[in-house]
Amino acid sequence: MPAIDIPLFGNVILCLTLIASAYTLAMAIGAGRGRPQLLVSARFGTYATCALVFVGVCVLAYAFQTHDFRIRYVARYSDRSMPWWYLVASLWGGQDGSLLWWTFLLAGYTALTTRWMTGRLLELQPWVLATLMSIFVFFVVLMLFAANPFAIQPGSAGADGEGLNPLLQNYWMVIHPPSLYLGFVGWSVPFAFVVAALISGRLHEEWVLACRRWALIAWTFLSLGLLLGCVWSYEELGWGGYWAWDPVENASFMPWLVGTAYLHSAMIQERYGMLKVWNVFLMCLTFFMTIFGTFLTRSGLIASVHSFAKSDIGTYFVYYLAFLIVGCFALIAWRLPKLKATHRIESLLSREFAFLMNNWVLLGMMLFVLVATTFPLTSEWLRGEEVTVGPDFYNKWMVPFGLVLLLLAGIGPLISWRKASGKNLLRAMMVPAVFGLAAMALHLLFGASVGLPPMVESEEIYDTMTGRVLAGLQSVLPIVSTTLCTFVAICVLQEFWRGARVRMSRGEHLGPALARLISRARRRYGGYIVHLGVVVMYFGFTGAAYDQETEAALMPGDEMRVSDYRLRYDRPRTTVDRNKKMLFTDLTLLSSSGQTLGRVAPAKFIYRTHPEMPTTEVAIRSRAARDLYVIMSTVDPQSQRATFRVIVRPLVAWIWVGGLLLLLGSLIAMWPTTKEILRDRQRASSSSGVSIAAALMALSLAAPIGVWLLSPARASAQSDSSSSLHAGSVVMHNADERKLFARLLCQCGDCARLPLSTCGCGWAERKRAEIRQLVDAGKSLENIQTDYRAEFGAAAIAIPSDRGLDRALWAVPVGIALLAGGGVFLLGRRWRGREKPASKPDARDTTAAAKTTSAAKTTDYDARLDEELSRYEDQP
Amino acid sequence: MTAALPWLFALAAGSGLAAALYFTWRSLRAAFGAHVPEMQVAIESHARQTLLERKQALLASLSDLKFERDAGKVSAEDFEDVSASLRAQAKTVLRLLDEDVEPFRDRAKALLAEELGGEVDAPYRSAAPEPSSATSEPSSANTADPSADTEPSTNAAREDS
Repeated sequence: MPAIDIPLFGNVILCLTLIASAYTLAMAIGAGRGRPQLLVSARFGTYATCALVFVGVCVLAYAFQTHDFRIRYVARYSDRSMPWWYLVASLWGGQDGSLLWWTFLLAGYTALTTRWMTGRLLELQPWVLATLMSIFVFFVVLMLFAANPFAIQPGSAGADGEGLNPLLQNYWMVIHPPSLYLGFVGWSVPFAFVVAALISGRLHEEWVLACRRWALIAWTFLSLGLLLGCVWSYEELGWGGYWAWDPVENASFMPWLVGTAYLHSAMIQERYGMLKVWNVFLMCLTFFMTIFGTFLTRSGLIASVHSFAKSDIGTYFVYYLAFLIVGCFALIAWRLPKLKATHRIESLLSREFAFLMNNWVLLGMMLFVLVATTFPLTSEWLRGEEVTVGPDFYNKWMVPFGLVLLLLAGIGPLISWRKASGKNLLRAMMVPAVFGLAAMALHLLFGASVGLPPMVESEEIYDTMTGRVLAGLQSVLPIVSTTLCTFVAICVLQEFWRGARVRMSRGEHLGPALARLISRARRRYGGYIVHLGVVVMYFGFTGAAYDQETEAALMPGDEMRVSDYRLRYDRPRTTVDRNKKMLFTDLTLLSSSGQTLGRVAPAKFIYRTHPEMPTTEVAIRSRAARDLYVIMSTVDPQSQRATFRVIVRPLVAWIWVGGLLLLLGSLIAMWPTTKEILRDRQRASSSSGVSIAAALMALSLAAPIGVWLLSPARASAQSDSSSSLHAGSVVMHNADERKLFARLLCQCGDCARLPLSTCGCGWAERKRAEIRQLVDAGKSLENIQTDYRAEFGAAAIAIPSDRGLDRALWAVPVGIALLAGGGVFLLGRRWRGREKPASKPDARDTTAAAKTTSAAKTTDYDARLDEELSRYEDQP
Repeated sequence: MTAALPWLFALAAGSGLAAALYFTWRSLRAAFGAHVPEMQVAIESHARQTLLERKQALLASLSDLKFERDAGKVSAEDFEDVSASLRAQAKTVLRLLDEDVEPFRDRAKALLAEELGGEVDAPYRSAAPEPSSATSEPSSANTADPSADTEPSTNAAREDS
């Protein structure tokens, strides 16, 4: 390979990929239009396309490993000092390479799906392949004409590259983006199935069943990616939080919300043939949101702390998004007559309706995040004024949505399908309600004494009634959350108990009964475990209300106190490796009685290639009850004086445990049964697609857990990692300062969206000093904020006001959500009114069944069916 | 490790290229008229495969429904209602599966008779309840459909190999 011109070879491979995908697209369309023999050609063409993408990724990886700085992308995102794993991670570290990586993951999914479809779904298959190939065509065109990872540097190649951004040089960079991309790209497969169903007109439950597991795989990877993003943010970004409502984070969260809604409503179509239009719409919307999220991340249209550089690929995305909207709506409109439900909701007190409500809340949340994320753009277009929507806005507004969703996660499993009686439901809710109330009483009585008071003070984000209502809700969040979390957890556990009791009545012991219960109904009980994970995570989120924070400047030997910890500053020390200089500050952690609890060593890293960007490394001591989060803000090597910011964050570990439970539940839900594996083995291993995907998923779940467990430096800065995003080195002198600086955003031009309360850049430091002088001179906080807005514009304020068009930011999504809620309720009532009592509830849309049901009734197949059923239930 | 990695990637790229060429050749052959017997088999067995998958889905639904009744989540009335509908569909599928193997039955019977000397007729008939024979041989408790667990599409799945 060294004799080959690598940049040229890479470009040739990209061109061949475009030709192969376009050819396969044509073959697949031919197969779909009545020439089935072309399906074989399309299948082989698909494999060829995937192999070519694989070659492209290998060529780029080779270029990175051999430091081929003729390639612009390699020169920009690597240097000779980087270890091999960061050279591999550089594949997705920048815009151009990450598009190739995206296409590579799509190739992986496509190859597995094609393998899985061997000998099945012959009517859908051509259109599935055609849809997937059309996605290939888009991404390869994008690479060839707008973001070519093999483009050559102008001029001669340098002796060394610029190096990967220090912020990205940590192990989470190796794990987090691939898992997130796997989640994003994974939705292409179910989307391809739905498009295939729409084009072929096969719109009964076939496509839902076919893409059930693929949707779960995509959802699980997306959840894993989001969770790892939270861990990365918490451990590496150094500002003490795990979710900042950054546009890029929101871009991943939105498809997750819609995908979650789909996973619930698909069950209704599978069971009762209802919500066909809705499911098709949700699946199209999920895929649309993945592309829209990518557009937000990559176009540079919206300021974000971790978006890619501004580029012109946004135009391509706009065209593709428009194509998706027009295409999907045209297909749905064309097939509307075939998408009519075969049954209606019988009662508003039914699991179907609870699922509809769940969909309403999830879509409401998505709409809220969407409006808020795009509001800066909307505002600029409508009135020429750019604004910023900060995390406080989301944190306040998402609380009510989250609480309703949590409640539904508990009530949903208790309600029967079709029609529940109020009496039965009340009986089922009795035990959870008692536990919930008991938890509430305990929290009220003892919460304050253990540092977790039932109510907390909350700041108003607006000086209006809306601000006061939101602050009120936020202040009672701890007690409401404790009560609801307990209620929902008991609801879920009760379901396990009810199921196990049925098996125990057949003579099984509790342990085996529970194991078989889960094994026999994986999707249901896997789903319940996911609900349990959400409860545990929500409990962890509640801990943010109790954060305690202290800052101090210490000399070696000095101590500081936070909560009931004492921290003694021992000494600074410097370590150097070939990539960076590391400046640690060693601290001893003591209990209030003076007992040594451990050592922590927050640090600053100065990278060889980016000396102007020193990164802050936090030290975290994590326990079930609370985390100790230590940030070293500054250190003077001469005097050894250092300033520290220490945060005690209760219940954070619960978030990670809940996340693991959520992932475990989804893995259980998608794992194939022994019967499925054996049956598919008989089909010449054609199921290997899903099996391999599930195995890969297990591996990718195990990897971060392993990293987390084996990481030796849980209580000290990571010696091989980095990043502060200019954050974590700011000292606040009082609560007023914190409130004011949290509302004012840094305007240096580089620190997008960072408030002065956390931004550590020089501009922010100077601005804080200026503002402190104004405060000392007696100027009110409101006046300072008004002047700041006048000087830098509305975008310099973290939360838009609650006046004029700014109010649309919350009024539009809330209004639409309320209207939609009313619509769902009225629709449910109308459907219920139309339902004929004598109708059969679960007659699926099977053509054969419709034609021959009467014939079957006359045939005595009952004994045979009982035999089959008995065999089915006895199998492992 | 560092020294070997470029060669590993080069080797992987070479293998990928070889695979791409092979699949392209197979694709072009199939597109331009080469006979693909596997495709014919796949098309022929597809209907049966769909029925077998439908049967599994219906058995899962029935089992699930029974469990929900036992757990007290579905009333007896609802259970009867839904169960009757699911059973009717399942019986239809079983009958269609039987009809699907009917053309092969005589041939299989002849082959078996050839091997076993004509002693296979009675037990075989009991295994496949037909409208006419079902009444004469009721409750064939051990009568599993011989084809139910024998996937006919094994050949079809070799399309790519």
